[in-house]
Amino acid sequence: MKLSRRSFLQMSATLASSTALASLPNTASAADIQDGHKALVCIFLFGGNDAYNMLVPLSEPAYSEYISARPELGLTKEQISPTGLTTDNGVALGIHHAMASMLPLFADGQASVVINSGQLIEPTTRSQIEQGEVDLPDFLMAHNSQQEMWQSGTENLSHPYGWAGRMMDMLGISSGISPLFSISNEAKLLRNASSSQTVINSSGVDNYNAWDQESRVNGYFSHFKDREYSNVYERNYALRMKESVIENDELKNVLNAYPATGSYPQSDLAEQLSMASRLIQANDMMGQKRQVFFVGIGGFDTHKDQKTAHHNLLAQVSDAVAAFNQDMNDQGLSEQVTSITMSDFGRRIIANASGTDHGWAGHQIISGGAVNAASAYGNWPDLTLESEHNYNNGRIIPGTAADQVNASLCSWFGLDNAQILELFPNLNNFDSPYLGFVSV
Amino acid sequence: MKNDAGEQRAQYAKFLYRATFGPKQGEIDNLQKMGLKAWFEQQTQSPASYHLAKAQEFAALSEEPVNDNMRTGAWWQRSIQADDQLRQRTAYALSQIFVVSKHGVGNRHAELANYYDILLKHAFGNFRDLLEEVTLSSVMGRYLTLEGSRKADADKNTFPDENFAREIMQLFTLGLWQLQPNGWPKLDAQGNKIPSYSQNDVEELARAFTGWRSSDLFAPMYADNGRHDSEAKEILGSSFPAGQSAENDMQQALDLLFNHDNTPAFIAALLIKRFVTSNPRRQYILRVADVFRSNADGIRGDLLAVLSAVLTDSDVINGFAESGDLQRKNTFGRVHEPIIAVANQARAFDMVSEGPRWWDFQYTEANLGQSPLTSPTVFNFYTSDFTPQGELAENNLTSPEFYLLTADNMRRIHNRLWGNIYAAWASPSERKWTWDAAEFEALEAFPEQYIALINERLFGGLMSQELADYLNYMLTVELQGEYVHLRVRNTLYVAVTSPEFFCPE
Repeated sequence: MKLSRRSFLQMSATLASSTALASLPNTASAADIQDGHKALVCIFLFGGNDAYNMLVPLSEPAYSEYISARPELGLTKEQISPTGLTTDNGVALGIHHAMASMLPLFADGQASVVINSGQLIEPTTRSQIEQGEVDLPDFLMAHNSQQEMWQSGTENLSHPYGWAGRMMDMLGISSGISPLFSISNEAKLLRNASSSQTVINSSGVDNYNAWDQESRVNGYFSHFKDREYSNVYERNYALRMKESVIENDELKNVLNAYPATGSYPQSDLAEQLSMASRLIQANDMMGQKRQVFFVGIGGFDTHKDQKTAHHNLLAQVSDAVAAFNQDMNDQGLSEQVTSITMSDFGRRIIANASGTDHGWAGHQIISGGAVNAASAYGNWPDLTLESEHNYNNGRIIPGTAADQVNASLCSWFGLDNAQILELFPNLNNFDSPYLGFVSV
Repeated sequence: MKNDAGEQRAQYAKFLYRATFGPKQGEIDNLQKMGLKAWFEQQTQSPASYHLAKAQEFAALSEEPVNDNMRTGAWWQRSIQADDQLRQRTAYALSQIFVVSKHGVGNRHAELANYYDILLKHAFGNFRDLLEEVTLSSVMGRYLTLEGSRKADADKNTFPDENFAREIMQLFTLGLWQLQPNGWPKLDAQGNKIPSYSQNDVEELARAFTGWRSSDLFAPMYADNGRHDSEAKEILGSSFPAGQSAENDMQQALDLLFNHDNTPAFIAALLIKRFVTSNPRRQYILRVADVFRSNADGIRGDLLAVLSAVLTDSDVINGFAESGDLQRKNTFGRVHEPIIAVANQARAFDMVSEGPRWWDFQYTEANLGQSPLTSPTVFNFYTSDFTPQGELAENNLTSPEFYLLTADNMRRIHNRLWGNIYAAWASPSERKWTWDAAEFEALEAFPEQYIALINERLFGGLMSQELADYLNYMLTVELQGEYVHLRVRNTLYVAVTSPEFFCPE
């Protein structure tokens, strides 16, 4: 017996009122958003992507400096495909040949790259670090701290919310189904005051097997409808049961209305992006003028035997991102959707025996119709051992702050300067809080 | 106390939900009769039920090499049927600290089972011995890439691998921040937390750990001193003299980490969270850490003494917990790991495999969001300080297991709990598990006795009056006149999906 619609709606209404927004500080009204729908897709490369083997300089002396820093692990010129992009300091960029499926996006002006970005509190050079003149972010080379820092903002590691979640609070965005979607597992990026993020599996939703008997449904619901719990774990567990039931039911309706589109390769990341595509297409049905998606792929912690493993990982990312962009183009949604890669940190330019160790700065790939893709963003760093960019034997100091990258995305979503500085107070230390990689 | 005997029995029941994979029929009464001291003695003397041998037995039955399903099936058979429950439960807790995973090691499942056996072997031993055997394990060497790490090579411009050096400090011994003896972070004059090691310590320790190789994932790694960096090192303020072998440096480094001020409280807090409560008070952590620092004989790192302290502390008996900003509210206890909730159910029903080989009837990793030695990363299935958004986070309380309770997993877990109930009536197959519901069927016509039976088997006698009342309503009103098996199944479903089944105190 199916759960009656009526009891469901009753429940949902109760839920909505219990999480309804009291007025938040610095909040615009959702009604103020006039420029139509936008979706941001963060693609997290867990483990620390070896960005210096993802994007490689074609110009000299940059290539020679690169290959002498990693004589064994560096890509040969034959393994690099030109992107047509040039950095702010005039270095032509190639991409790992495993990522050839991205080349049409670069050619069509739908993708660009941010070079040498990472966690920074203020502009930083090697001499300044050695002389103790700059503050450095906490635990620079630790996986979990750095993953979290990308999602919280550099100075906000201890803040309970993530920057994208807080951005949605500031924009006054909320809806029945939360517009903050994490595919697979909860993400710090999406935490905020006004809603619980929607955590969804890329295989979608399914049935509660025991619910073909009304007494079982009633009993299940009694656990959260009729009971008060004094124990804090029971109370929150019952709430999670309730939220899960509602989310499962509402998403079932949405996903039935929006079956999969496009042509995706078979990979976990591709399935996640395919799910994101369906939810993006359903934005109007869900009443979501802004959406943020968090998807991810692991395995980038390539300390050892890196060559094949990294090649395969980059191919998966490239093929999935290319398919996703094609899907967005086919649906006419390309201008509304921007995706960006992030990773714990870049890896050390100097290698281990057959892999690489934790480094600092890395590169990011941005794609979508709103991307200003005429050039790359940022300066190519000097990779030689004694350079001002080279800290601690090959951990490259970022030239662009992660906060600047994230702020640019917030600006595209509609935050003003004051709001952005509230999210990323460090940006006062930089000449400009933004990079111009998306059209506002 | 109003009812001393009843209260005492409740304490024993709660104890068994912590120290074992859940009480089986008769075990609470048995414990009450023998007392904790005799129970600990019995558990420590009970021979270890190893997993590799069981997985190999299953492999022989299927005439295939050990695979994931066999290794997981062996884990379930041991967790449900083995008598050395404290050892099994402890090894499982240790597998979430000294993490290795098939995601990383690869499908080397006999070798993974053998790694699990290392944890079983040392569960009641000394932490220092455990740390050494884990460190030198070829499976760990492969997982955290210590195997093959060699001294810097100027010609190839390569450096030692820092992976294991970093994680042994961050995750296996010290943690990120300097701790007070009670596990709370130390603060500097400005009120900031103080890192417990620097990047330089990581690099130096990585040098000390160079030179280890392996040719057999079942065996420990061996030293190849030609690859070892024998220059002097300075690690966490200690000098490692030049000229030491890989073995010398390893011993000195492990001693240093074992004897570090952070290690007792760091490990105490992790174990308390796995066994007892997500929000221990600092006094509790301190008492357990003190036992780690020195057992009754003055020995550091005695894991059995530590376990005993974790499980029998006065805060555990009194149900005291850190309440964060929820002033003196009910914050003692934890949310079960999904795999432990299912193990509780299976033991309550005394489930057995229908065939001689135990298959992974739960499809554990897909349905429960976790499975032994399958963590996505070395950071385990959740971090120990994870807290779900909402009341717990707002009041500065943690509940790590909540990370696994996504809407998707919640539905899958409850579907598994239902599948396990239904297994008593399902068509037989040697790949399934089953159980005998006759005891329940015999009593369903007598609601009071029937509910008492559910209470005893599935809740150790701790069921709330509200849940008992609801089950009584089902039997006497909602399911009045329905078939016996339906009355049994439906009431059991409601019982095992209750928050109290998943949230033991």
